[in-house]
Amino acid sequence: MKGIIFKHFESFVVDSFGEEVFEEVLEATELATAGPFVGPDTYPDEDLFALVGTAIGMLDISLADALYAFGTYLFDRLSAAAPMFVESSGSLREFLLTIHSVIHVEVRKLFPGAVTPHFSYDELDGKQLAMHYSSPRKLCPLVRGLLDGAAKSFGESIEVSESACMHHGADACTFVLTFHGSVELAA
Amino acid sequence: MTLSREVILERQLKRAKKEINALESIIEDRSRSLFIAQEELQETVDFLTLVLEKLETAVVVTDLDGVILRLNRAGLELLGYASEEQAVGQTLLQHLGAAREDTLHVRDLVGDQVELTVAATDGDRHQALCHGALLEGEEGRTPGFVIVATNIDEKKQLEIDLQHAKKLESVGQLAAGVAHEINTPIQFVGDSLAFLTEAMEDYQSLQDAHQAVIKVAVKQGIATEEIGAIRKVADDIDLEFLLEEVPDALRRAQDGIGRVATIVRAMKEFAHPGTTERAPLDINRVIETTLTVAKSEFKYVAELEMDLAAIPHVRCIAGDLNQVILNLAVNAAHAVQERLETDPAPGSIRVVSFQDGESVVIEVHDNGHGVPEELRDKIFDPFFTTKEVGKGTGQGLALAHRIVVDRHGGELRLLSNEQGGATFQIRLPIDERSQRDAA
Repeated sequence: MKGIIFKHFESFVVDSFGEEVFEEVLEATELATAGPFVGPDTYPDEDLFALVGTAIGMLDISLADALYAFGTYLFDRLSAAAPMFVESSGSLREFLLTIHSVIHVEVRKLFPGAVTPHFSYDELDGKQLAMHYSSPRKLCPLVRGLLDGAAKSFGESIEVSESACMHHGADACTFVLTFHGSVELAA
Repeated sequence: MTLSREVILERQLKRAKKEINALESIIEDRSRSLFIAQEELQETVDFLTLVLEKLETAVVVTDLDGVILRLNRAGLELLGYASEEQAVGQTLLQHLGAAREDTLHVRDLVGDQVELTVAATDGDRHQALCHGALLEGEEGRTPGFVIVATNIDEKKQLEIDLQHAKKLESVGQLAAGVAHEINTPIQFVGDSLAFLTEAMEDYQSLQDAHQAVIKVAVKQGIATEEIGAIRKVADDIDLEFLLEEVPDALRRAQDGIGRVATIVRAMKEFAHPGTTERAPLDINRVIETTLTVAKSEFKYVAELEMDLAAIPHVRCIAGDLNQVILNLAVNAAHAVQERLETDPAPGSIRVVSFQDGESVVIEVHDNGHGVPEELRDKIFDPFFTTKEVGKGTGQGLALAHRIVVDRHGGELRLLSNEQGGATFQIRLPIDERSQRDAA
């Protein structure tokens, strides 16, 4: 996992629960990494999972909720760091279709050694899109948070249902997205 | 456990310092990698630039409207520009599609190869095989086209030469066949004429003897009636005239058949010069043979004069040299003929040969219309002709030039002459080495 995700996780905990909580989480977690986390470097996935594990234990929240909340937070941070990917897409659907073929390609160029998840798509009809997510990290709640974060960023209303999940034996998690247009129209 | 603000700040500071160190190290690594990557990139760019410059195929990049953005050395040469700065901003289409009736667009070159006439800025025209591809406007690049054009002038020239050679070969074969067929009857006609001449001489002796007998008989007054009958027959057939004219007629027939035999021999020799390899050649004999064959081209328009000095043999391809002399002689005849349309002064074609130092020189002088100054540097260009449509293909002098200069290492020049006509001068090196270098 790239250090940038660790840094965003630190910001997420600090912004949501305060500096003291993060220091406590850091102190209470046994990490494989000795040094501090810096954006371009690569760290074991287990270190992030350990930090998340400590945090949810301390804050008494579920792992899925924590990852979902981090996902929505993470999208804002990532899109602020690389706004061109969001700005070049006219709609949320258009943006989501570029994740695998454009955005992750650029991420791997910018962060050599980055292991990005795999996304494939089935365009069901004009209003529905099935996104198939697969990764050994199996972070489907994080993906769901990212999807909602993206919808918010585009000002669009969507409905997401997970029809298959790697945690239940599927090869990939399938998110069926139903697009309801802009938030104002949907309301 | 509650951490004090100081402790938190102290930890954050400690981590920040470590992060700065780690980032500095990463920046250093990245800078090194970037430097190496830039070096590699530059090497690749230099290599690709070298490849493009060395290519004999023109590569031209244009925008969507066909305005030239970049081009390689072969592109500059094909389009006739001195530098890339001169070419950039010009429209590629101003060079392409000359001699085309339809309007050409750069996008028409995308797909199959198209053969086009390219008009260079210096006025030269080239035949080129063109092929284009669309350049998408990816990663900030201006969208446009890349056009690849291969100059096929040489290939086209070879095709024309081959076509010409095939035509000549078939004409030659036909001539050789006709010559072969005529040769045998000519021989027995010649032999029969020789026999008749001899027989006539014998008959003349017999006739003299008869006259002597008749004279004796008349003197003695015998066989008066029979002698009268003989004299009547002699008067009827105009024997005196026959005896005077038949030998002359036979001599003229022999002369004529002798000339026909010479022409037939020359045709056979011209059509089958013997070899396509270089061999020591009697240039004067080539001149005589060729002018015999080409006599019909000039005999009604000009007097032919030959002044052939003793010259050494020169290693040449006989068929090639036949062709050159023939082309120059026919050209001279046409020039004289055109001049005669406005000026009745008698036509003259003079062919001379002599040795000049290490060269054998052949000159064909005519008193035709001459070559205007402004056309002198074009006359050896392929397809250039001042002759009326259907009379000249513009290949004769171009072919002669290629044979003399490219194949024999010699020179073919146009000189002015005192009669206002043209003099074509061929210089062939006697030295074998010069010829080998040319070959």
